[in-house]
Amino acid sequence: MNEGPRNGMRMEEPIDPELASLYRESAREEPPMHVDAAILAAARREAGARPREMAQETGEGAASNAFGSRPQSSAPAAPFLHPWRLPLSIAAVIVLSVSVVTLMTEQDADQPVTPLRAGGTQKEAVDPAGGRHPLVATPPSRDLTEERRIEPQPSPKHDGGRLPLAEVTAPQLRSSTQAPTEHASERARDGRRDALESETARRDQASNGARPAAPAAALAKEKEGTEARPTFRDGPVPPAASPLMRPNGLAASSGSASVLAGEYEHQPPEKWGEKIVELRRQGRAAEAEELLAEFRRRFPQYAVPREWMP
Amino acid sequence: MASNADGNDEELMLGYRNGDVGAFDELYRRHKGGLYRYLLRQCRDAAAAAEMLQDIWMNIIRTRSSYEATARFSTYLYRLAHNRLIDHYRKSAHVVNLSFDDRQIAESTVVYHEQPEVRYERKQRAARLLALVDALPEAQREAFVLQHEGGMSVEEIATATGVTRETAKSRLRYALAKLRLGMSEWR
Repeated sequence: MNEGPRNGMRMEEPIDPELASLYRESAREEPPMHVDAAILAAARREAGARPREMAQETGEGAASNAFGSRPQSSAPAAPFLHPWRLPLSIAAVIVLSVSVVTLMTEQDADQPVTPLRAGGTQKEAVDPAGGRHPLVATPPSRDLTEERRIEPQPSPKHDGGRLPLAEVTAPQLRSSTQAPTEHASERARDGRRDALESETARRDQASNGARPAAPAAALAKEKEGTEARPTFRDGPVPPAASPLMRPNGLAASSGSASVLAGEYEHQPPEKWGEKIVELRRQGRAAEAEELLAEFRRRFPQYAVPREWMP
Repeated sequence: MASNADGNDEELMLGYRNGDVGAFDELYRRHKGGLYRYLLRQCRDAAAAAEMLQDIWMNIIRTRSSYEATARFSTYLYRLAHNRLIDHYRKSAHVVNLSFDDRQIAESTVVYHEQPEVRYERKQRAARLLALVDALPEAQREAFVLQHEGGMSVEEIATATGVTRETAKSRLRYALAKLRLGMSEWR
């Protein structure tokens, strides 16, 4: 039992020594032993120590547990850090998340922004607001490789062979040539059109005779007739503005050529070439020319082999 | 005796906070009886008192890592006990004189012991005293028991029960006055 009020501590406080003495003699109730055992066992569990018998507390137990000693381990750092576990964990997660996001953002910003083609897709490549960045769709290393391959921009008949774009498949280039880039292909196509028209028109005239005799006239007609056809000066070409859909001197074969173009949409350039050659062999020069034109539109950087030509 | 028995209650509790189980053993040994009797006097139910005792110490054990020696340990302990008693009263719909109105000095209707009017030995006087203590109003009885079981000063009693010093002092005075009056014929 407690000693009662401390003697001499606060003499002015109401206290009756006789009553206090009498009370101390009378009040002797103690808690049940099983309650003592449960409490002491819980204290040990909490501190990470083994439970001990109550009888040992007054004997060896007390002697071995001098005040200030820590016989049963639990390092002081553990209880000290215990309340900090959750805040530290949350802080670590936040720091990691921010770091990862920052790294990813920097990686995207650091990717080279060199143009994909001569048409100058610089604007598109660097456009931060343009929804889907063409270079994001593929792994950075691969994009860089593609960029290096595309960058030299040789003439279409460079070295009589193909640019090392052979590995660049149609779907990949297609993924990187979204609607805004189609006008660049238009510009490239137009740039070579003059040189090509004269040659193809001559051969087509021999094959089907449906072509206008004057390639220049046909070209002029095409340019006049297609008011919806923008050039590189006018701006981006709508996605649906395929040359195959425009009225021109080859309207008779537009339908089948566009179908072919749709079939070969996801085929590599070699497949396109095979089909073009096959069409020429079959005498379907108009379709071959349409398909070639479509191919050039989609693969402007691809050096067209001579055998594809009429 | 073990050296940790020399430490004061706050040092023992801090020792237990740092992992010294022996310090807790000593601390428990010092206060288990007084706390139990305090609870017993207030609720008058041994089983309930034992249960509350366990709850209180479990609370201390669980929150040991956050213990700060800002006040005496006994004040902290009996503050917990007082709150636990309040919870017990609410749950059990305790109808005994719950008023802590210090102006009410009326006799409680509950009598713990009923003693004969014959003068006996000190043992009977002690029993009589216990009966008188149990007959005190709740607030006064609590103040008296805290003083004698917890060894607390008036200020500490005020802190533990959540009242002002003057209120605690007043309760204690009333309690002593009643006990002296009740024991007057036994002296």
